[in-house]
Amino acid sequence: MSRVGIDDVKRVARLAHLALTEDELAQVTRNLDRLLDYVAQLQAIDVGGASETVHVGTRPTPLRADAVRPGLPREVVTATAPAAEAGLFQVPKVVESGGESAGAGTEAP
Amino acid sequence: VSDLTKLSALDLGRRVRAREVSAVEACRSHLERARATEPALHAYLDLPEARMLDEARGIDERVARGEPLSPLAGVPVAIKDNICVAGRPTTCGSKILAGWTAPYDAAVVERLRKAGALVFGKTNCDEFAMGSSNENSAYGVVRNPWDLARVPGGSSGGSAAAVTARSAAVGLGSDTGGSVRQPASLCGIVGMKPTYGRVSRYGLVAFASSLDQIGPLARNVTDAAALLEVVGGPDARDSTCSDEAVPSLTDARAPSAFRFGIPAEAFGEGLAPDVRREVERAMASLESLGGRRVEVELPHSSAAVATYYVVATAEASSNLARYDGVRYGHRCEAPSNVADLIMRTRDEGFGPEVKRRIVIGTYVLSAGYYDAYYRRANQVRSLISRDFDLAFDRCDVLVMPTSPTTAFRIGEKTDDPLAMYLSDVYTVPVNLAGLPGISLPCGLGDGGLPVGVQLVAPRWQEPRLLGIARSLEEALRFSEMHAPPL
Repeated sequence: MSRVGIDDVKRVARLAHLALTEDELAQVTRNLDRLLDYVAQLQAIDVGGASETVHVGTRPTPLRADAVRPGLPREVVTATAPAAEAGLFQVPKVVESGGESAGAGTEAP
Repeated sequence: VSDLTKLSALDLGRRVRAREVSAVEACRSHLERARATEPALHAYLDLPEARMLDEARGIDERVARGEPLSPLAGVPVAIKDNICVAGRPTTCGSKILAGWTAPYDAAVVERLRKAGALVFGKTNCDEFAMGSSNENSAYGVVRNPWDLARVPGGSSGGSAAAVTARSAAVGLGSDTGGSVRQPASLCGIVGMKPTYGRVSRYGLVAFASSLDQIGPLARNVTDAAALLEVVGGPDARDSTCSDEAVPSLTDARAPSAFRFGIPAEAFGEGLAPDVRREVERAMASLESLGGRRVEVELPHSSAAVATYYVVATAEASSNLARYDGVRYGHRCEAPSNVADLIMRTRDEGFGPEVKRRIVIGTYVLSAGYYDAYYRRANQVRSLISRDFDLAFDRCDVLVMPTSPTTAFRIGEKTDDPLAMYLSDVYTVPVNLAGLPGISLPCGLGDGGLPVGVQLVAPRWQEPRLLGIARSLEEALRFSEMHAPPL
């Protein structure tokens, strides 16, 4: 029995901001299904009261002074951006005319 | 010397400091070697001759001024292309970073410069270090110097091929699930993953942050140790980096008596007979060095690959959310709105394996599945770590294969992602537990392909690990007897 279908992958792809083609969707669905089958072995392990690993280091995390330090100059950062002007990253208009947000929408205003 | 590329890194560095040869000559020799080997190998993505020669001149001036430089002065170091070098392209083997120039040096690159080492070519790799064969690079596959029809391993396959073919003296890679040790094994060289927290990852492009670690690739254990001495140590810019200095590593040797543990689980089904044979030969050599064989158990290691592909993909899906076409890298043409910009940029920029892992990672973190997959995997991860801790109560190092097979053919596993993932079965448990591990060549398998043996030590025990590795290397004399045909 398959664990995931195309619709599951579509939902997850949307969460991950990935626009997958129909071919990619079909292939990723097969891959995900097979991997989840394989990963199902984790359910069979008796984890008892094992805690979750959050950090593998055995030493305490070193702390540094919370001091203001210079970052990269603005012009250096924007020089490698795909689109920038006046020291700012350029993006498509986020707020459409009429004040409606176009954040996740796909319809034309 | 007629060919500087045949020297060890430390020998070359010694001659540069003694002014017997110049850093410029060292650079030229390796460039010449790259010109001869690159058409066949494709190990490099960026090899700016004029710039590197210029930097080599700068090193020679420092030598002439009597500046105290490290043992790696003038030594060309290949850099995996997921490590930032200021002013040079850093693509991570991905189209999504095509044309992006890093605005700063990674911590390891800063340290190489300070040490007087030569920051050499940037090497090809699986896209965002996701892969075990280098076939996932958007810029074409790297070939194995031992057999051009075969993969060099991955994801640090470019650095491994370059060091093997002597177009670099040593190289840096990153190891998230075996990406330094496995290509080293498949190419017949030394590759090491230091303890998690030993090397700063500032300027390493993140894949799976609880696993990633930068490590050296070299043609002998001592060169690898020298490179780790240079790049390791505290760095406040990486909060996971230990504040303890790297101990002296290059003069480490095996103690006169030690115990090496053999995990039964690593010698079961799936291990190729020729790999088993050569690794057993290495174990016999360890006995001749005064090592005592101890049987140990790692009962949860059979779940390591499953655990790894939940943890690593979950972290990757989060880390790779930053590629949105806004701040760096590729941007799709004429986006209609912000959502369209992000979705199409990512669809065009990421390759199939990266998309696959982002979907898996997003799935295991999504509502309703988090407990069953991600939480569960991190509990099993604790059990895997504990297995190692218990094993190290009974032995000083563990010995096992690095990879279940020798180098496989290009295309052999590309249709079956899970089969590819299983080639990491002996390396991923070491990352999950944050331990230091090293692969060194121990013999030739069928078809004359190199076999690597993996040694693993408790956290922070790099001197012990490298000491035993170096003594084993001397006993095996692999590189005195074998060399790749290229």
